[in-house]
Amino acid sequence: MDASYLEALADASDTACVGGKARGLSDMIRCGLPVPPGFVVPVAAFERFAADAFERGTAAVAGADTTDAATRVAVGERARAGLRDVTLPDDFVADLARWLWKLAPEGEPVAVRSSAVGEDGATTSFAGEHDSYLGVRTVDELVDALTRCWASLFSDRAIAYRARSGLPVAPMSVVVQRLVLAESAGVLMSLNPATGDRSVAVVESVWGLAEPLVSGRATPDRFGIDLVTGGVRFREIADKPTFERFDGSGVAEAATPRERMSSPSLGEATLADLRSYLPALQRCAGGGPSDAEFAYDGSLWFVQVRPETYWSQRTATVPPPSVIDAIVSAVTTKR
Amino acid sequence: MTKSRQFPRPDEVPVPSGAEDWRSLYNWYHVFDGQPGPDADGFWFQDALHHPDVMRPYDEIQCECWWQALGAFNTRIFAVPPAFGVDQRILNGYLYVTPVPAPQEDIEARAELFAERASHYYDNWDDIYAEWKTKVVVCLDRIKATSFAPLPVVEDASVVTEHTGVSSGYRMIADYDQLVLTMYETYQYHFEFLNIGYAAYLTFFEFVRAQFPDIEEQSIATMVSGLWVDLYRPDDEMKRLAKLAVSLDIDDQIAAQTVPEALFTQLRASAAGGEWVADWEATADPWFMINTDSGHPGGYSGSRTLFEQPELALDAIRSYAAQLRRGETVDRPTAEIIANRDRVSDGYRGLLADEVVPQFDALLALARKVFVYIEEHVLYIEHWMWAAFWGKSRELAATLTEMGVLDEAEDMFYLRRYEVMETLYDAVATWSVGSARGRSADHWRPIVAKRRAIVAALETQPMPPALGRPPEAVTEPLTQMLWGITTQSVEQWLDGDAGGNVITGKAGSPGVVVGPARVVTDVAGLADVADGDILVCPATSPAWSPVFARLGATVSDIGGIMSHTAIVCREYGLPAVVGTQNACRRIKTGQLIRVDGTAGTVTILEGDAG
Repeated sequence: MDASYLEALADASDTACVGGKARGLSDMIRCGLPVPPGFVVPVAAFERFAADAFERGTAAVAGADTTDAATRVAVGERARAGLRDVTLPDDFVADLARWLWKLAPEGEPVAVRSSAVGEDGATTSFAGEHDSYLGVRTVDELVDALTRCWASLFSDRAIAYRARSGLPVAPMSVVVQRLVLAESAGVLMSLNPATGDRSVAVVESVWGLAEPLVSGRATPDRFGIDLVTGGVRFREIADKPTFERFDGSGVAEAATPRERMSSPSLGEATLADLRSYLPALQRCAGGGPSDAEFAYDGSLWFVQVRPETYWSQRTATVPPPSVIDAIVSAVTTKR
Repeated sequence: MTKSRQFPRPDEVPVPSGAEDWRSLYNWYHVFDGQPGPDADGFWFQDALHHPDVMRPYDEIQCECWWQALGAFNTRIFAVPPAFGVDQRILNGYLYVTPVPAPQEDIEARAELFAERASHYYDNWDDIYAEWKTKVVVCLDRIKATSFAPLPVVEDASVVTEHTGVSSGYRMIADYDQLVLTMYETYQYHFEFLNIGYAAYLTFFEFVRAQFPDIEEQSIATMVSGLWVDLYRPDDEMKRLAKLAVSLDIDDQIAAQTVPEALFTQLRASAAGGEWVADWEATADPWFMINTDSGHPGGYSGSRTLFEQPELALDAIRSYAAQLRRGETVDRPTAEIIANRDRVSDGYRGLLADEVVPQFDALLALARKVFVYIEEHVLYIEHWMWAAFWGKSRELAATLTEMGVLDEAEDMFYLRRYEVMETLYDAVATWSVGSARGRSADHWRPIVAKRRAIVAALETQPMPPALGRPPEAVTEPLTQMLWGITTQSVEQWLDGDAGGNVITGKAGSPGVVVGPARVVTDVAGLADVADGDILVCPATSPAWSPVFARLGATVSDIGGIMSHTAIVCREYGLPAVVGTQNACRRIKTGQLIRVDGTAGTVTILEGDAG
């Protein structure tokens, strides 16, 4: 079997081969951010093993009226069934088993996520339109999750999204990554989203997984880190009555132990660690302001980076033309 | 109980019993006259920053100097667009002030004039400032040259041989005239630079804050301060003298003898000691001519300098010498301060959009330039000039007493400055005609006795922080800049002390420290400060520098983030909360307190707030 079908996440630099998600993670590694280890099942594997089912599904969807919900659901179901029924050759499965063992020698849970070409782009947000599988441990589960990811190209949401956006259906790559059993998680923003102040990085964090924070369901702790002096400029600790965690098979909500409820979900050392990664983060986002999602399990892991879009696109206020005009305006302006 | 959203009107503030005639202590044009009219209807706030105590009549000149000069430079010379001067009135011995706004319709024209005139100063700052120092030193020398020795029985022969043509009596009158007028002149120079300096400094603050809305004021201050200015010289000179004592190996001798005169005599007996005393003498004037009061320096005739209290400077030198013997360094970490200043400035500069960098550079350069003046004028005027003025005033008082014109030297300070002049005319005429006795002592005796009682009565009554109906918002830039008074602080006054255990001020220097409080209101109290104490004081003086090495943190009632306290604490890495207004009153020595210099709060952890 040709081992080149699978590749380490760090090497996944060609978007056309590995998809946007894998490419993003590999960029993060190259920029010096700690990323949970993983490997990629690239587009080439999809094309080698699932080409027939993909072509049949694509043709069926193209021939159907996907603006009609019932029709869309029916063709989608048939197309997904075709991809789920793909039989993978034994040597490829053996290869997957070897890579899985290297990644998780103790049977640690991994996450399997789709990485479509055209997903996670800077301008088109396809995030969440395809599926992710958490807590995969065996090679059988991995094969199952892999074909489910492939099949998710024809999920009802994905078909509807493509119909709306006019994007073509493209072959899919899949990322297999160690699952971070997060003690706490959150978002690091390289500027203060509330004021646009670029001299302060803002960290928002919660206990457990970041999802309730990212989706706006939970009020996070907030920390402002002065990028010049390194000092913590503000620190708002929220009451965090519940949190989400991976319970072995899926994500579940739990009550926060009383003693942790109103204590900070990140320690000083982790805040300092986060701050030390800001230059790498900036490199990763092409030099401009950016947001990153992170998780902490005793070590810090970055799971996603995006360029900041609101303040970066605002033009700076034009400064007064001369020093004396600035002074006149400062003494005359009422505060 | 509903809170009144208005302060008492001046005529509603009760006069303490025994002080009914308080107006007779001050110039008639300077007091609230108790009549209806604009004075009674206005909003006034107490100038506790410069004049926290009941003024004695002679000391009234201190506020009159800035009343006129600040006004003239703002209103008539630089045409500061929105602000005329700051008006003053005295009530029950305390100074109240109110800023006078420029008429709205004049602001545009004033802005044009201001830009033209202030630019001339900004563009030629270094040259004009060099001239300024010369002008002030000329004033200083002129005051030092006045002489108030008792008038002689017979004039010196030189009056004839050098045909000076004037008597010592005339010269005494002329010298007193010169003394007062020179002090008045100095204040012209004080405001020649101060407000345009503040304006440039404020502009840099506002610019940086517009770029970085969340920035801490301390970070902006760090970019500007840390400069080598003369205000640090007194402390540096004490350190230098300590080093010299160690290298001459006479520090043991200095440590053993605590009476200054005995020590100097003892030292002069050896070559090494003699060298040291000569150096001390060359240094003490001017570098120890600094006020040791806690609070705005030079405000009262009772102000004393390090020069007049050599035991304080010697104490500091002893403690520095001991540190040196232990192998510790005593130098101000100037290189580190500058490196930190540059690191912070470069850090923020690097985060700016390219197109605003030139503006940042220009405003920062100007802010640093003007800041030297803002710091140094305090040494030249508040310390040197006032020290010389009060020193000469005390010399005159002692002479008048010796001549029998006054019963006691202190009596002179219960006379208004015009009344002192009247006294001189009487004394000089009496001396000139050879009459047995002038009328001054008899004339002033009952008046001074009454005035002493009035001052004592006035001191018993606390005064409201403000008078009249406050404006909806304090928008006047001078009030905010110089006094730190904002809409919020007026609200706090109206609400009274919030009580509780938390006192709010301004974040002066970052960090959090818990420790025992040591309330120090005068320089003598510094001797009680133990290692790790938290100093709670009205304000600090550069003469207090040696104590900072022992402190855990500092709380000062007066001052903003560029005050002496805040700057020195940042340099020593001590947390500081400044501008707490009433911490000295609410905190008791020995109470455990928590100072949060990042948030600007002081929490009393033990016992109740007073």
